Amino acid sequence: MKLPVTASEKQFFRSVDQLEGTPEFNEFLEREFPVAASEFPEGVSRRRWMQLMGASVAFAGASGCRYYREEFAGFVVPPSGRVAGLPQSFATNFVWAGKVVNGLVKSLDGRPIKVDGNAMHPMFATSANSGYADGKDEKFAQAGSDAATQAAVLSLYDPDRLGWLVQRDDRSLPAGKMVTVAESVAQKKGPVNWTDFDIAARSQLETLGGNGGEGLAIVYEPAPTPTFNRLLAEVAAKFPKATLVPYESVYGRNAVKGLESLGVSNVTVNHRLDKATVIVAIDADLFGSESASVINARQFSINRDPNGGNMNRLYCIESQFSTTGSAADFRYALQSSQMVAFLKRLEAAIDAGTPFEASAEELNYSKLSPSERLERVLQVIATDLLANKGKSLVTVGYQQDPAAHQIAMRINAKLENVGKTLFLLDAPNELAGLKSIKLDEFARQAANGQFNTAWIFAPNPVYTVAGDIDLPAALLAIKTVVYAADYDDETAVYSTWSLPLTHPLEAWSDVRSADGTYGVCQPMIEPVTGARSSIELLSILAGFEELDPAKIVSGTLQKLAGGSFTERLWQEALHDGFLKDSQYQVSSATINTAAEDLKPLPASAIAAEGENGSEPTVAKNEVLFSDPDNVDLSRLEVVVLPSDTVYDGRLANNGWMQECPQPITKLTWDNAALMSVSTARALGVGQSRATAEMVVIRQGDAMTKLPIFIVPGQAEGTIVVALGYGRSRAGSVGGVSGQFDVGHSIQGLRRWNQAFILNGIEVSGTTEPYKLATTQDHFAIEDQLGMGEIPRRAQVIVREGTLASYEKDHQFAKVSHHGLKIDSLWKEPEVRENHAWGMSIDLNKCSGCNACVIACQAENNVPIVGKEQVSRGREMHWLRIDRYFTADREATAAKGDSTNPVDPRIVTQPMACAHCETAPCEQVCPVAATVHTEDGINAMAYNRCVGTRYCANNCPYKVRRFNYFNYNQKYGYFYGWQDKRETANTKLQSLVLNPDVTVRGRGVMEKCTYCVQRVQNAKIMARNKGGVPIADGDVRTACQEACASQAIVFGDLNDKTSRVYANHNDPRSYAVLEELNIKPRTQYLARLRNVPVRLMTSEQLNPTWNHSHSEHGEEHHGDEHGHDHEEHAGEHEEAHS
Amino acid sequence: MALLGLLILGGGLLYAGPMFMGVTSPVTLNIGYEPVQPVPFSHALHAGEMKMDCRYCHVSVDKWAHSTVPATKTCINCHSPMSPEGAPVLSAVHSESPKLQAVRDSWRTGESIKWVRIHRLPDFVYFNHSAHVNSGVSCVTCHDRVDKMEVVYQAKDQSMAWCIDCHRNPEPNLRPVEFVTKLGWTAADIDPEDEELGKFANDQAGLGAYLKEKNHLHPNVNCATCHR
Repeated sequence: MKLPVTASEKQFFRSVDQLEGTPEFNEFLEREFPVAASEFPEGVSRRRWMQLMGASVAFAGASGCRYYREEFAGFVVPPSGRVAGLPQSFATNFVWAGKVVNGLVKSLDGRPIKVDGNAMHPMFATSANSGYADGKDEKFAQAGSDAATQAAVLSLYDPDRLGWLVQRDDRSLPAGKMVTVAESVAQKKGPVNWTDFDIAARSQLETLGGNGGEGLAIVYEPAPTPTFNRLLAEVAAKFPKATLVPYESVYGRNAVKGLESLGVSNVTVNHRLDKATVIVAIDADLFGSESASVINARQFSINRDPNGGNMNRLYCIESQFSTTGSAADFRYALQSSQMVAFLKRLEAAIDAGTPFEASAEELNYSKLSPSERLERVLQVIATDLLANKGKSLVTVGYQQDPAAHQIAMRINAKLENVGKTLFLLDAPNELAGLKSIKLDEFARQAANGQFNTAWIFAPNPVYTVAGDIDLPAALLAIKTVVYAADYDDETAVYSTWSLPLTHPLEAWSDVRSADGTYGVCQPMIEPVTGARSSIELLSILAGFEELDPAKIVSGTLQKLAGGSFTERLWQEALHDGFLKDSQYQVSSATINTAAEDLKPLPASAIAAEGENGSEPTVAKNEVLFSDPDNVDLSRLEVVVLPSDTVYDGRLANNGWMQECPQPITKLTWDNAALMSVSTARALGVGQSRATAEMVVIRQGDAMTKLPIFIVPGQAEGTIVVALGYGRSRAGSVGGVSGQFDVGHSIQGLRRWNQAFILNGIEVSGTTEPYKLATTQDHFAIEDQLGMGEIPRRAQVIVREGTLASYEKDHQFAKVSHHGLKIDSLWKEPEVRENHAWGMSIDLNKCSGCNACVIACQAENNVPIVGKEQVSRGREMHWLRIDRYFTADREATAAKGDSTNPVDPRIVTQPMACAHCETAPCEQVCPVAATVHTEDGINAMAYNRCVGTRYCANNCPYKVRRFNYFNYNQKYGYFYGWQDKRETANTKLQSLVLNPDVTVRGRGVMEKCTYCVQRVQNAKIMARNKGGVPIADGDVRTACQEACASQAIVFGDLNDKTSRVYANHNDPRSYAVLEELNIKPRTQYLARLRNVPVRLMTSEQLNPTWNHSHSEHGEEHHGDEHGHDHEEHAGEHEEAHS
Repeated sequence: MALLGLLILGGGLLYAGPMFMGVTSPVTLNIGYEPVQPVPFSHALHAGEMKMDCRYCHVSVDKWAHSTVPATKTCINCHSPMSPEGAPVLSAVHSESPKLQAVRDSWRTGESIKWVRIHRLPDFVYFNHSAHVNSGVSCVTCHDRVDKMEVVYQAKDQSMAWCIDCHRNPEPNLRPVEFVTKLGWTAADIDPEDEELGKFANDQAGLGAYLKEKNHLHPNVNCATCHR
């Protein structure tokens, strides 16, 4: 068969290096693990590596005893209802990395080991999946979460957490080593304890009480936590002269300001993406850094089923390339500072109210110039919005100008979306009427000596604050600084008292979700570091008699429920994870569309000013589009956003997050100045795969230095930098200055009044090279037959079409079948099992958010390996998310520069072991360590593996991982047989391990097992219940549970009523590399983009697969595919030969 | 040259001997392990003479993976210490026996009794008691006649080959689920008049085949059955 693509036209590519064919990428293709992959880490990196691995290499000789002695510690009085080794689930709610988590915590023998979403919670339950009319949705009720939530348990057992109380009387002394749990264990107890603090606090409070709290400041992070806020109000009432200082590292009140300008205040905005047909995201990373990302992904994915006829459409206008941009049907890159102008133009078009018609002879989108493209985009979006009044939604990112929020809200009001896709809810403000000052004002007043006592309830403000505020000086000018600390971090060294603060899984608290639902945060475990919660600390400050945090929280519920409060109601709220019917009421406030325009912030206004400082173009509604041919370096902007992995730095010491490949760049252990190909060229800076040039970014006097990273498709002239790196006292994972650094801090460049978007930027290259660890070219599947094979392979690995092409030809994803005759050399193995486990992953729903990656890591005890090892291609993630770029090929070809693709789009593809029925890995294992189970799982027997790595060489999907070193040494495991788990400094961290999964030692292969432990446990559970059959949905893999988009479905292919069976028989379903006849049990549903015709590229208008169809004729379709489905579904018939 | 060859050969044999005879032997080295327990608890007395059911102490054996050692409270149910006034509390069997000192200490202090584990499979083996007990595999199959042991020791091999033997051929070890904790039970104990099982009196092979069929028992021998 003639393949539809020739080698010169690369349709899908992973990175710019692949386009350029750099030696590094070729190396990754040609060798499964790059050269020198078995060398021991050397030099500085070796020391760093040892640190990460726990460094306690004690080569004790084999013990002389004949028998291994192990003791059981039985209970004295057994807890009722608990069966040893059987997990229990508890509902809880907490704020984690800026997001509200409605969680269900898996607790095993009393220790929490996994956090997932609570499917019963109204936030999830009101958006249950549709599209399956068989009434089985109940069984499939699943919630989903995000990567940070999945990693929360690792932070809980972090041995670098502040282990005891620290008192620093003389803060001018060197801060010294970080005080950690490990040390506190070794030294039994600290120099001061809670009793000492209580005595000190009492005398402090007596003094303060005498003068009404004069000189007392309370710095806190605003959050929807009713009890905390209630206590804060009590404290303010007790000390009327005290000063409240709300401070959030990631400022989230721009939307509120926008609303207030339209005459609406004291409301909270709740989006309902599931009610919207057309969604326009303006610089809003809906599925990434937006606070409601999990529920957004859930609601968005519900309407992504083309068979149900309910495909929504997502337009994404953004400067960075975000997960939302990759999930969007149409994405347009525009600088963040142009969004206000863009929205003004959009509003004007909507005000005009006339839909734009396509003229008969107009050019298609591929053929347009950049300025024509902008006009076309505006026209199409305005037309689409006008046609979907009451069914559309315009959202703006939290980092955007309040003026942008104002306009977007006005557009939503004009489109009658308020009350339909967007709700204004009356949110009670517990702190209403209390006057507060901002952190900049606090710093000024403190430096002037206006405060003698400060209590800090915000995580690490000294690190997160903008560079133009000297918070250390301010804190040093305060006599007593009490800091509720997670770690002995940058802020702790400027505090007189650092008090160990509980992790949310150890504390009593409460939370209100975006829709207002009240949920209690209940502790899963006694504080492992002997910490106290912020509620306990605040109640000391408030001088409460009652110091039991559970009673204090139930007091809040009592106030909320009023007369209907009963003990039973409280217990129900704890059990269910929410208080029934506690949603906020819909506000009666109306948006005043005639209100005066907000003045844009400097970034939006100045960036739009004309060359000679004339009229700002914003006023003239002129959008300065991103022109790749003419990057205007005078309009450079830096967009600072919280990291997709470590947030604002508070997760910096979480190894899972540090090593989690960032969704678009696939960078680990680092941040970088992300910029487009054209911008890098205009700046004269370069990057070759892992080696990037350091650049200096200046704004006025402030400067910072960091490596660049090229992201095709980012807006020209925009540099995106992630917060949260370059920590100076994060811990043994996240960085300690003077010892090792992880990434670069951008704080020095930030300005108090320019939180996210900075302009007036100068960038200069330094020619200094910097090694980045990015996994983007690792485990490239396309390597089988050399470089010439890449475009063909990539073309069939990810399959993408438009909704229009799908409607024309449902079978488009089957393109590679035509003309491929699949013969087997062997007699096919007989399929003889009760179950045939299989998985289906819907690329149309996946946004590449990484929740599944970390869920898999948490479930399966996957180790972290460190930056050095990642850069050698040794990351251990069983599940990776392959990110493929594709571009407007015609427009790129027209420009004649294939290394600078026009209009790149992204398809993300979660890739793990596909459990091939005729698995190539099994054929080559010399010791039969990887074999098939009766139910079709490709199993790994670790204790049998001798580490030849033949299997990994023979795996076409590149999903096998090898333990080059004993990565689990830090947990006390040594070659799998020597048990040192009782060693003090590893004891805490090893609590995170899932006891249902073997901890692997050095020298063995590992890979996805389809969560075989869950499969086996479900089978045993079914037998214990008297042999009831396993129903569809009884076995859920960890990745499936974590997927908020519900893109991953796992089940039994022998069950003809199962969801996975239905999905495998969907016309969009295809097997990756099916021509190898390996019969993978994981299949993918092809990606569809619901692109309006006027925005389609030439290729989308005339997809290439149509040509191949005409070559082979339509009559092949029916029988050929029908046959295939049956075979994949495990029908007991002879394979065709 | 010949000498060198002999040396290599000799060395090879020296290495191969222990490798094949010792390390790869299907019989584990743990048979006979009989550690001293903190409480000289007699299974022969409790389970044998007094016919207490195994599950009185090993509570979760039919519920999930672990059989679990008894909580101190379980011992105290019968062996409660005297009250401070010297009067028996609950049922006070041998309230002051020195053998029960560890139990009373645990009850008084709240500290666990540190029992010593006897039967131990490696960490990479996932054995689930409930899957076996609820399928009609008796305790005696793996633990032998604990009801006759004054001090419990490991009597059976408990190696992988030994596990697989039974997984391939479970019939000799199957019995009706209600008799799994009756360690002395054999097919000879079946009442020949029993409507369902009477015909299997004295016929373990027939009984095993019948129960395997009736309860849909298909023990797997693939690696993932026990290694996860």
